[in-house]
Amino acid sequence: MAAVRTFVSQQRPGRLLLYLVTAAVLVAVAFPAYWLVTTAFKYEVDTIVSPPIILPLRGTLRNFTDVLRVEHIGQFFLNSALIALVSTGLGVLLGSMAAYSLSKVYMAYRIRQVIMIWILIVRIFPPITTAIPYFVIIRGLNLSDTHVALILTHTAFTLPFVIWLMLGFFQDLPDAIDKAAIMDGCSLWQRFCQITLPLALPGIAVTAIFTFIYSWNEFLYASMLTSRTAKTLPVVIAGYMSDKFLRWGEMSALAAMMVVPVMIFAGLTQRYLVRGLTFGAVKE
Amino acid sequence: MAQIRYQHVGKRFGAVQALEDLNLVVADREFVTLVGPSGCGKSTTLNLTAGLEDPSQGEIYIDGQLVNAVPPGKRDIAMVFQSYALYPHKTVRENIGFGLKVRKMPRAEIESRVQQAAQSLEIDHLLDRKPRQLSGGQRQRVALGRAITRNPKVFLLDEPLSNLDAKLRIQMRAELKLLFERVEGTVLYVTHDQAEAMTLSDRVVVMHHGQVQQVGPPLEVYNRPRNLFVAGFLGSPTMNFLDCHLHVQDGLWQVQGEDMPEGALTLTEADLEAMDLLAHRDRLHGSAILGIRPEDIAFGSRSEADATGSHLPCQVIVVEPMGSMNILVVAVGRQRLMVSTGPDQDIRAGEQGWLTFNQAKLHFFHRDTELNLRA
Repeated sequence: MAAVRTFVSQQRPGRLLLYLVTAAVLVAVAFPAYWLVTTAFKYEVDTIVSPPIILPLRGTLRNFTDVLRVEHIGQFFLNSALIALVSTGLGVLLGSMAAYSLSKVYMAYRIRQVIMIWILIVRIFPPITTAIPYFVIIRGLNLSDTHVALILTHTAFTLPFVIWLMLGFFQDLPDAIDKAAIMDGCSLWQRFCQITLPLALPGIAVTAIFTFIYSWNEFLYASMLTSRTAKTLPVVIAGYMSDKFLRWGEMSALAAMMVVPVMIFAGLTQRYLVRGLTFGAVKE
Repeated sequence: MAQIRYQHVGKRFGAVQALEDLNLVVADREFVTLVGPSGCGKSTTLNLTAGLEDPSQGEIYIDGQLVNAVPPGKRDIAMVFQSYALYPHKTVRENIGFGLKVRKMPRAEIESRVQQAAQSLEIDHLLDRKPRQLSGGQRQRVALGRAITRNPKVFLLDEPLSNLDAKLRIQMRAELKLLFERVEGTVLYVTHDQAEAMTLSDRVVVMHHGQVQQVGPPLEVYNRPRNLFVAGFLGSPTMNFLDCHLHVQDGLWQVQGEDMPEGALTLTEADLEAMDLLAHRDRLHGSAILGIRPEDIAFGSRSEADATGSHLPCQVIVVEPMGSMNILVVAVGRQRLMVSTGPDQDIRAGEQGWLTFNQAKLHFFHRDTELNLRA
């Protein structure tokens, strides 16, 4: 008993530190979200006072009603949703196919590494470095201010991420299952669609959430390649900033509304995140 | 007709020669077992037959047709994997019928074949379950069902019982034997378990270091091992080996060794004839390795030993009662030998005694080539 007590008491300082660090991380992560939501409900004057009001005692829905009255706001919402959904779908489909080929095709380790790094290079550059070439190409293709322009750019930017992530998931799938499907007479495409994809659903869900969030929040290319028809919500939010005013309330209200679809999307895909789908397939 | 013919087949993975110059004909509806330790090339042979790997050299013929360039799905082969490799997101019914569905068979026909296979494997009550809801034995049956439902020309089984516990393995072994007596098809079975190889097969192929060591019916390979490796690999407990030297004295063959004093083992011409060594007696002069299986050695008193041509003093070190027999570990000089005796023979550890050999069942191997001198 004494030995147990000693062990527990020795553990206590470590545990306390652990709780403190956890609490600090939680505050760091949660506070911006709290600040966003409270600011969305603040009166304009309360958003700019100094010192800032951490715990507001009064609130208003004015910011939300103002934002919803903005001309074409519905269309901007739809633009964001359409572009994020299509580029997520395209990115996940094309990226999964590329990752599947990379995981199944026999090639020397070094060649595979070179290909993987080459794929990653797209993400190594800061997006701003390729902004001008993209702008010129999109304008040259007569795609300025179209949904296609943003879908293409977002897909291109998410592909490396999808390939890297999905490759890991595909490599984790037992090889024997793929071989069994080959023996059952499946073509490469049938194996991909009927066996591998259903088994990689947790991976696809994770990848899809991340790509959706990327596209949904992407600002730089959206502001550069769209002006009205294909304008997305981050660009609308940025419109509340000018050299004359900073409309914190409206910005926060729109940003808070933008979070909702992402949460719905994550909620819908969450059930696929459950691990252990492959349990029972093979005995390791 | 589904004969499989391997002609000078080899497979190299980088610097490793996994399979070397395989020449083998597996007859139609024959049950052939590839047996050997890990890395001996047996699974590579299976993968080459399935088409999951391409041979580095040589040709493989199935049904007289060269299949080197035929994709796996078109070879009319079914394979059962060691890890079962069931599709976890599909039900048992879908798992068993998947191969037929891919081949675009009518739904009613698929259902009837699935039912038939499930009934013969006694898993018809599990058809709507997912693999994760099944026990190891049930999963193995599903994997077998997936193979037999396609009615293929060739079955490839890659250590299908090795993931089952000992009791279930013996039960499934008997069921496999019955199943493949009913099913029409050539069977190539891979295992490292020699009991499976002995009990199931029409012929066994013993492999080592990518090379075929011996091919033959199980009992023939057991009784007439071609070399030291085969002799040591088949049999449980394994064959005993003793370094020895042979010479003729007064018309009798004296077998001596560091741990075998003069006169311990004397062989007559009749013994050589029983061992099928009479024609090769000139090979016997000089050094050799003597091999004798535990069941061909008897433990007894000096007077019992004197009645035979061999008597080797020994001391019992360990007695392992197995129920149906006792296994003795005895010391002969510095050597340890395994001896199996009847369960009723009362022998204690530490006891001194004499060993006698069944002289018709001795094996002599060349010290350098390790080949059986009879071969």
